[in-house]
Parts: sequence; C-alpha cells; structure tokens
Amino acid sequence: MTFNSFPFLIFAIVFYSLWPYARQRQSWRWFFLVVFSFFFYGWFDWRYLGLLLASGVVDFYAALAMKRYPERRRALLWLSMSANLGLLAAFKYITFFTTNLNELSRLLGGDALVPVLYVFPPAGISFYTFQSMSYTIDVYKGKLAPTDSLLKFFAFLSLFPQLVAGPIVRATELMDQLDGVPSPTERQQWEGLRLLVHGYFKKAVLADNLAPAVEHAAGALHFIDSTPFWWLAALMLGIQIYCDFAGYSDIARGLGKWMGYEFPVNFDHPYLATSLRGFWMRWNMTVTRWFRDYVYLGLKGSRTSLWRSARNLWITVILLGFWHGANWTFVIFGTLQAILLTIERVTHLPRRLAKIPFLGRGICVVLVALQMMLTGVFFRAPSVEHALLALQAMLSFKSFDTAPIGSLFFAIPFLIVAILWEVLVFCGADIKTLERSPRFVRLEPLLLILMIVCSVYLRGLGTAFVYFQF
Amino acid sequence: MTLNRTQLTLLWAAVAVVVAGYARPVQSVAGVPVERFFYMKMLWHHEFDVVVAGDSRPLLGVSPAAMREALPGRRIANFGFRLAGYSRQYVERAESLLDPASPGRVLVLGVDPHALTTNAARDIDTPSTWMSLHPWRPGHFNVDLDNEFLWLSAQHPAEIRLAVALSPIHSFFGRLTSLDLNQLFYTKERRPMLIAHEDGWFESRMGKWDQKNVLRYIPPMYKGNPVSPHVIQKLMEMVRGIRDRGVAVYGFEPPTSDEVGRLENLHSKFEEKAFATAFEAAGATWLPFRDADFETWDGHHLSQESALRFSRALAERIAAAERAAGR
Repeated sequence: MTFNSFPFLIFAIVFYSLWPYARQRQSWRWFFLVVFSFFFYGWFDWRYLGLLLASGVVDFYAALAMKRYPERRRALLWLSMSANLGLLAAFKYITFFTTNLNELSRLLGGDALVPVLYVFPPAGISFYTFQSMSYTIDVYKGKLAPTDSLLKFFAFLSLFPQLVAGPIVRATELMDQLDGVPSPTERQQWEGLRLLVHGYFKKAVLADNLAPAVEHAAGALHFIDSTPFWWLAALMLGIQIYCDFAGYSDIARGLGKWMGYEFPVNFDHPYLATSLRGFWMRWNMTVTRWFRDYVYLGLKGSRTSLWRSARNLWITVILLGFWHGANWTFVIFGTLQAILLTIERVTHLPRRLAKIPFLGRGICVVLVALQMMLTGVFFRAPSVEHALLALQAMLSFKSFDTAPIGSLFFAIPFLIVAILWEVLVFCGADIKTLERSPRFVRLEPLLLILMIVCSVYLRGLGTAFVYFQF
Repeated sequence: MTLNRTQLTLLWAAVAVVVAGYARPVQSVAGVPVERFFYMKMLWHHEFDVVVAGDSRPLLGVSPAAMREALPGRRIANFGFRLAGYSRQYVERAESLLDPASPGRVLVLGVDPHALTTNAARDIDTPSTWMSLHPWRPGHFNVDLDNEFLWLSAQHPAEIRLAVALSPIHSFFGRLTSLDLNQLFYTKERRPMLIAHEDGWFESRMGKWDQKNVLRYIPPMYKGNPVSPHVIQKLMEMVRGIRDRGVAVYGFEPPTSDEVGRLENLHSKFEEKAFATAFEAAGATWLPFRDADFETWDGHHLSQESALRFSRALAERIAAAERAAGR
C-alpha cells in the first residue's frame, strides 16, 4: 500500500479512528500496531510477510539468546547478520550476482555457469533488514536490553509509517516510546499535519509532475543533442528524487506524530549543503547514520592512518551506493561519491570557498548541486551505457539548441516551485524561524489548505515512491 | 465539542477540496471517467460478437457504435490500448472477449508497425518485463507506463475491480491533466478534447498538431526496435489457431498521414503487402484502406469525423466479406 493511494486513505481513516482506544492497554496497543502494519505490508504482496517474519524472529531470538548466553554473543550476532544479509542477497542481489557470474564466465571464454534467477525483491527489504540488524547489534554492544515480548519487537520492526522506505528508526529510539501510552499533544498533531501536507505536496505535486519530464528525457537519449536540455533534465531528476523521498519521510514522520511517536528527521534540505560531506549528513540521514555507525566506525572511521581512513570512507560509500540497488550503476555512483568526498577531504575546498565574501556559501551550494547532478545520472540510468550517454550529452557542449527544452516545459513550473522553496529556506525562511512570526502562525492554516487542494487536483500521475525499490 | 487548530484546518481543507471539485474549471476528457475506462476493458469477458484490437490508432480510430450501422445487432467492442503490441497475452485476451455462444465471432486486428515490434509485443510473463512493471521493484525506471495493456496485466484482478468500483470518487477528485492545464492557461478553450465511450472507443476532438514535431519522434521509436519477423510469425500462428476455433479474423492498417506512413515504414521496415500476404495465408482477411481518404489530427490518429467514416467503411467491408463467406 502506498501513501498516495486511495486504499491507504481508507486504511488511515480506520487506523486513526481506532487508535485512541487501542493505545490504552499495552498488549492491545502492540497487537493493534502489528495487525495494521502487517496488513499495510501484506497489501503489496502477502507472501513477502514471511520474509519480514523470518528476519524479525531470527533477530528477536538472537538478541534474547545474547542475554542468556553472553559468552556466545559474537556467534549469535553472526547468525543474525548472516540471516539478514542472506535474505538481502537472495531477494535483492541474486539476479545481479547470477547475471554477472555468467558474464564473467563468458569473458573468460566459458559458458554460462548458473541460470539467471529472477527474484522479485519485496518492497523496502533493505530498510527493515537494516532496522532489524541494528537491534541485534545494539544488544550485542550492550546499548540496549533485549525485549521479552515478540509482539513489542514486531510493533517496533513493522511499524507501518516507516516500514518500507524509512526513516530507519533504531530500537534505542523507539522501544521506550512503545512502552508508554502515546497521547499526541496538540502541538504534535499540528506538526504532524504540517509534515503530512508538506510530504504529500512534495511527492504528489512536485515529484510526480517532474517524473514524466525525466522519463521523457530518458527516452530521448539517442536523439536529442542539446547541452542545456540535458543539464535541465539532470536538475529535474535531482529535484524529483529529493521531493519523492523527502516527501515520503515527511509523511512517515507526520503519521508517527499523529500516533504520538517521534521518528528521526531524515532529510534536512540536502541541496543547501555547502559540502558533499554536508550533503550526505542531510540526505537520507538515518541510512547514512546506519552506515556511519555500523560500517565506517566499525572499521575505526578516521581514528586511524590517513590511508586506512580513506579506505574506510571508500568501503562505506561504495556499500551505501550498492545498498540502493543491484546494478553496476549504483556501484559507480558510490565510487564517484567516494572520489569526490576524498578530494573534498584532501583539498578542504568547501571551507576555502565559503570564505569568499557574500557569494561563498552560494558558490558552495551550487558546486554541491553540480556534483550531484553529474553523479546522479548513474543513480537514475537503467544501465552504465545509458548513464555514459547522458553524461556525454551533458558534457559535450556541442549544441546549445534550446528548442528541445520545450518538451520539458510542462514540468518547469513545478521545478521553479521546488527551487523557490529551497531558496526561501536558504534565505532563512525555514519553519522554525517562521513559527516565531504571529502573522505566519495565523496564515499557516490557509497555506496548508491551499497545499492540500493542490495535492489533490495538481497531483501528477501517481507512481510508487522511488525509494520503495531499495 | 471544541475542535483544535489541526482538526479545524482539516475540516476546512475537506470543504475546500469538495468545492474545488465542483468548481473544476475545465474537463478536457469527458464521457466514461478515464479512471474507469481502461480498467473496465480488463474486466470484459465472453460478451461480444466482434472485437477490434490494436494500439492507439484503432483505439481512437474505430467506433463500435458506428460499426453497428453496417453490422446491426452485433455486440461490438474496441479493445485498443495505447502502445499495445501483438503479444501472445494480448491476442489471447482479445479473443477471450468473444462470446463462445455467438454464431458469428469476429476478431479485427488493427495492425501498424509499432504493434509488431519486440518492444510492444512483450509478454507480462517474461520475468524481466514483470520486474519492470512492478514499480517498487528494481529497474522500475525502465517501466513503459504508456503501454497500458502491459501495465494493467500486471495488476491484481482485485485491484482492477476496486479501481472500477471507486472510479466515481477517483473521477470527482481527478487530477487536472496536462490537457486541462493547457486549456486553462494557454488555449482558453473549454470543451472536451477526448471522449471515452462505454464500448471502448476513445473519441478525439483534438486540433491539428505540428507535423514537424510529430515526425522527429518516429526514427528513435524504431531505432534498435524495428518490426520483428518473430513477432509476425507468432501472430500468424495465433491467427491460424483462432481461425481453427471458428473465429473470423480480419486485419487492416489504420490510416495515417502520408508523411508519417512513409517515415514509419522506412524506419520500421514494415511492408504492408508482404504482411497482408502472410496474413491471408494464415486464413485471415486483409482489408486495405487508402490513407488519403481519411484525416488525422497528429499524423497518427484519426479525427472524430474521419474515425466515424472509417468505422462505417470497415464494418461494411467486414459485412461484405462475411456475406461472401456465407456467414
């Protein structure tokens, strides 16, 4: 079930009508959350509920066993990791592995070694397996006491707002919240509404109206040779993916607030970052944080020699790229990010540029955006060949024909709105500042009503959220 | 009961949404709600005497109601979908619309080059196609959402039924399409441009399009994707099978503008004569039409008046052939 579908509207109405009654008693509350969350997930394909159950049961009992047999903690952690990564390998990466194994064999002059297996990864498998793993890792590290209640564990793991596309909520952040009786305050309700409206506007109005332009550009790779066209298309792609995913995260957080739960912020205007490092600190923050804490710091991060620190960065960022999808394009995307992050770390370029009076910060923001536009091509392209073709078109500077831009014309108003939104925040008009103005407080309801009307009637062709595939 | 700020805002938002729905300034697509139109076709089963299949050209070019003037008493449906190709699944589905109890079952295939390309004639049970059609699956960026039949085939039957049941609500809260926005901000026209009919015809009242813009999209469409001999061979095998089951099969090439036809044949390597010969050898009847007799609005699709004339002409030719065959 996607947040922008009619069935979800019905689901949400039923859920939030019953929630005030269901939340009163602890066991009822967990049971209610699990039933609704499983229904939400099962709507995609009920067969994949088995995977969610398998991943959860292994981690629940592994964590309990760690408490009971502390001397076997390490082995139990390996069991949990193997089970989760095994599920990921079998359901997300198997097609990639078998195809590439055969390609390698062919390159060496042999025949295909294995049949190519087409397995359909369940929605959001990367999110819930990572969330589940973080639970056992935190128990292993002694940061968290394992829960005795399977129901509570599944309420944590499957909580529907964040189940399929994050934010990845750590057990340390949510388990305590699940214990108390949640009663959303008036402020939480208002913030929840604001997040929901902003989220739907970003997804339905901005991302979904930019998507056809991006699709159109992708289909025109072979015959449009115009540098401005391709830069505009790359900009649209960057904004589309941002609005799509940030929109999802806002909706998830808003739904959480309406339940009385707080989920961590997942996007903090990444395109306003003044360095690439800053970009990743603001983009999909909970996933980046996961990789930082469990991979980068697990490898000792930067508390080691310069060479090892660079190696750790590369491993982490390439894995982060590969986490996004089973395709060489994502590996290349991660590698390019690693190269650029290393250059940034060595040259301290953003810090130097930021010192330029008046323009410094703006130049840094544009520079980060340019880097993301160029590397983002690999994020979007179905194959390396397509990505190279698009890059060639962007960087050839042979034709400055502006006529093809006409075919993207219909999406330009939505691009302008998205950019204006970011510019306002860049100039200091973020929500925290605006909230201090009594005039804004009076006008905000009207603004939200207008955004709701736009989200209904100016919504684009509804597609699933981009990050569902990860 | 006192409502707080959140509840009040939600309440006023609901009122504003309903008011905006009633005050919708333009409705460029009229008739059967488009939210129901294509889903409804997927629920048709064993209920027609004559079924017309094909991509957007037959979809916009053949009116079953106009055909009935020459084929009175027949239950006729237009099973066209945008960018549909002659895959096994599509042909089987089209045949399944025919009522087995009907004494004169007729399947009419609108054949143009694109419907015979490998890309258009993909089957949903090809694993890579299946993967590309499930939006939350990896590779969904390759999704050819325009191929409506392929996309709808990937939907669960329950989802299709639900979509049809909820279509009045979807329709009221329907989004303003690019056609609506175009009317609202540029052309200032306030009339329906497309009308969806219960019998499956998508009537077009669009104004003339710039041919230059249309023509530039033809070569890339067939680059690496010309008419496939394999698709044609499979289609002929299916036609033979359908004939063996007692269904009369007719084929025609929907009229286009001269320029579009020429450029398309050049890039797709489609030869109507050779195709017609193979089609007839498979036991079907080919009905040739002259492009110049009909007018299109974008080079590809017939305008409303031409579509009505074409549908009558098509039905008359089928009626004559049926009489000649003693059916």
